Amino acid sequence: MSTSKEGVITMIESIVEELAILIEEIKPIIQQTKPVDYAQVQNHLDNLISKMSGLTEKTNLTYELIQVVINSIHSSRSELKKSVDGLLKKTGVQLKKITTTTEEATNKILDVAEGLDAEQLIIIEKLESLKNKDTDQDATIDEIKNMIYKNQDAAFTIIDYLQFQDITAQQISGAYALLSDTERTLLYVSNLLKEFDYGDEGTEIILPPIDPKSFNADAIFTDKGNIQNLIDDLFETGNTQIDIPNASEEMELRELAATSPTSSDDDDFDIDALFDNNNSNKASQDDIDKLFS
Amino acid sequence: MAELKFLIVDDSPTMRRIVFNTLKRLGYGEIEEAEQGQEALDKLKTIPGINFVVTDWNMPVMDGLQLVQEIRANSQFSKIPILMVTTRSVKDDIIEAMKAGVNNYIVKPFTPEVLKAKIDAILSK
Repeated sequence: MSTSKEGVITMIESIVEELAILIEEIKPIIQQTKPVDYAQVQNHLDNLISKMSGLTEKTNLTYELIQVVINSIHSSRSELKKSVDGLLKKTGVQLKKITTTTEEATNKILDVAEGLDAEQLIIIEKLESLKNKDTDQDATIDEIKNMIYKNQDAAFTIIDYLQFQDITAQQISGAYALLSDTERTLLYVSNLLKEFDYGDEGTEIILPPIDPKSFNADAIFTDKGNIQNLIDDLFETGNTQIDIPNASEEMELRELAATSPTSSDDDDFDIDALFDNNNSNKASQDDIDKLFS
Repeated sequence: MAELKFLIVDDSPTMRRIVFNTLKRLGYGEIEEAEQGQEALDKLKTIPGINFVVTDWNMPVMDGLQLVQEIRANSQFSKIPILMVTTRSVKDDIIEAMKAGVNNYIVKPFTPEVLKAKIDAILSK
């Protein structure tokens, strides 16, 4: 960069010198040529030389400004590199770790729940073998079996809730994909500025890309009771006009319902608006109960 | 219909295990698994007797929607019932899946009761 600046200044200085020589050389010709006003021409030429000389100073100033811009570009690129290398990479790795860790933990919980189920089945079998047509004893055995069945249901409920892992993993994949896109955008900007930067260090993509087909960033872990009912209607009737709110809207409505004051006679909370149902697909009482449960 | 032989298609090992457990709990014994659509197609071709597919939508390589389209386009498997179990609950997605040929649709998280109801509904038609 500095070589180019010196080159421009040298060229201007050389032009000024050449002009001065030229003026001296054409003086005799101008003096002989009538009716040209020698003094006026001389004045114009002096002005030209003066302006050309000023260019040197202006070029120096322009160079100083350009240098500030270049330094700023260099500093921005360094910051971009730090952000990409440090923050994005670290966050990306952490996000992957969260998914791996929750998956491992979920699988361990599944191991325990499945183990419990298997043991409970064995206990039930053994209890069954203890029955000997003694009415009282058999009744007690049945009672114990019912207690075990309840415990089994509880274990299965735990398994059902473990679906949270898949849903949060998809949300995390969404966040990771966003980071990856941000990284690409930053690197694109950095590469655009590379030509103007004296540093030659390049930055490469760090976060491995993620297949966009493999996740739904809008996945939400919430009871989809009302939405599922509407989907059922859609499949049963084939009526594509059925209004299905998206899950995030549904969740917002639940939060709204949860934070609203408890109902009173003058409560103007609009259930129809809540369900966005002004047509024949009114939500049933079950839907309303589920929504407020 | 002969005894049901399920194929669970989901890229999440946790979800495959949960669906597997739920199907077992509902009394279904024969269950195969695949991580994504392409593997599911391969299993349909190589493992005889699969007659019910439970598939996720969001998967790498070949997603659930593509899988449904492939199955419906293949004369050998086109009649297999397909139940989609997914986090996608936007109406346009649901209609797209319906048009592609899924027989029913469940939004995650689901309960065993809902899964059973949908399997029964599909089989009753």
